[in-house]
Amino acid sequence: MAFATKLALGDVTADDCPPLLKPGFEKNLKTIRDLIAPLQSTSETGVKLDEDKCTGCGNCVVVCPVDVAVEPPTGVGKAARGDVTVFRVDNGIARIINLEKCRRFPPDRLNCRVCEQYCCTDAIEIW
Amino acid sequence: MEDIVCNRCSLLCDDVVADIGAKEVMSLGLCRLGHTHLERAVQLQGIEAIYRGDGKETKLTQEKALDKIAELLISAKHPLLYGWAHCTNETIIEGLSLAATLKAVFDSSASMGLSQSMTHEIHHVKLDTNLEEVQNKGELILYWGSNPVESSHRHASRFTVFPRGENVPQGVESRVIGVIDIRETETMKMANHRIIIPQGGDCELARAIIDDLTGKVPLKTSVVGLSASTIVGLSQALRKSDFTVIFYGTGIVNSGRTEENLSLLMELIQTLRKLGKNAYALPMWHAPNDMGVLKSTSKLAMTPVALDFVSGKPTPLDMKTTLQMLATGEFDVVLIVGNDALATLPNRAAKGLASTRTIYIGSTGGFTDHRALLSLRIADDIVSGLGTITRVDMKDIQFKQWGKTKKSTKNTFDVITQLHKMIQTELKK
Repeated sequence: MAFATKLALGDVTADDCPPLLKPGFEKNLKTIRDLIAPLQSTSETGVKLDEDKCTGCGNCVVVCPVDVAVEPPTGVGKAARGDVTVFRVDNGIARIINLEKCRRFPPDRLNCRVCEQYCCTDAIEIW
Repeated sequence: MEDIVCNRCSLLCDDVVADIGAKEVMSLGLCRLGHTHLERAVQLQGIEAIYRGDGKETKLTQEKALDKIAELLISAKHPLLYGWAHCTNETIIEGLSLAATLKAVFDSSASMGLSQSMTHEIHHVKLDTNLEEVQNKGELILYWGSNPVESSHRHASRFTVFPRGENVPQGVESRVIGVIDIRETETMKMANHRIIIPQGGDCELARAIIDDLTGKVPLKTSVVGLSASTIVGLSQALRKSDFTVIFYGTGIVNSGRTEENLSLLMELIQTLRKLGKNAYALPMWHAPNDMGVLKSTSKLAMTPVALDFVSGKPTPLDMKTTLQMLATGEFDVVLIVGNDALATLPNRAAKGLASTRTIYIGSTGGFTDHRALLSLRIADDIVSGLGTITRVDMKDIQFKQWGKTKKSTKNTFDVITQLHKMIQTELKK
């Protein structure tokens, strides 16, 4: 489990697991390499926001763990009013104002998709 | 940026800010509906009056328009004062007072479903919760026949689903969300229990859940097309939750089985309470101040429904509804305040209204504004930032003033008060 966590965080690769390098595990090794390849190669977050679909509901603002950490009132449902959050609803539409703070970016490289998961209008897409 | 209160929907967001220029608006936190509403209100601040008598449109000054409105209302034998759901509580109270002076009927869009639900005994079983409490404690949120993603965009993010609270520290991760509707809705995307039922199937589903909770009838067969495991899944979630809130909407109230649906929801709440749980029901209504209308009318009569002042005392209309009377042309003059009634009334009532002498007082735009015999266009109350409105959970919210316009803008309250004084003076002569 600890290895899996490190793998998800991008701290290790599949090739760091000795048992996987043994004969007979080639298929598993390839599957895991394929699975984590996007994480290893990600230099951008891959978050896309379609402003035409967005209703400005603010689900992304409140649900984003970074937003809650940097502007705590968003954690209790208040609108983001500063300029420190990842998401903020400007003029009725959510905007990504600090993409570099997204946890999908290095060094975290977390496979966080919480904004996409709870965007009810499918305005947010992670590719 | 200045603090404002948005009056686009019944959530009355008061945590938002805006920078309002002469024609341009920048906002933070307002949803798309709210921002568009504010932008439009700012662009249409001027007062304008149009009279459409004798087959032509004539522009009037505000004073002449008020004279004409007073004349029309005083000469009316059976006037109706309708709308009000977009007005402040102060305007509504003045409107009720005007209705008493004119011996008119007073009604609002709240009578199309909401007042029936608020007078139902479901609201007599101690439903004293509010949205802040839901935010802090709500463990199971059940949207039943309501779709906040379309009607009140910030409902979930601000109060019910995503915010962290005292008893729900992880926000959405600490809560269970259920959605019951007759079709797949966008709200279902955030739900753990997504239940699609046939139209009119609410009673059967509620009965099945109650039976499962009480253990009277072991649920083994499907109900309204839902598998037993789906219903038992929701029932178990209800059993586990210490604080359940059912947000019921027009799907429950306007589905043709209002009384039965609400009675079963009440039974469900009482069943949960007998199991030692906190359970509540709150209506989902999107007009900004339907609740203000109900609050004000219920102070005059025990039941918050349409009031007839013909006898001098406010009496609930009981023989016929306002809509039936509109459809049969029983009113000779209708004053509509802050509501596009022609766009929202049912077909027969709208047709009846269209052939009645209509006066419109409210913001620019809409069928009623363009069809009324006399339209007095005034700025939306968000512009003056004065007055109180009542949120969907009955909490009063004070408007916030902003910018330079607050000193000069005449709002609906000022206009209705002036009109009332003119009518009183005229009647004394």
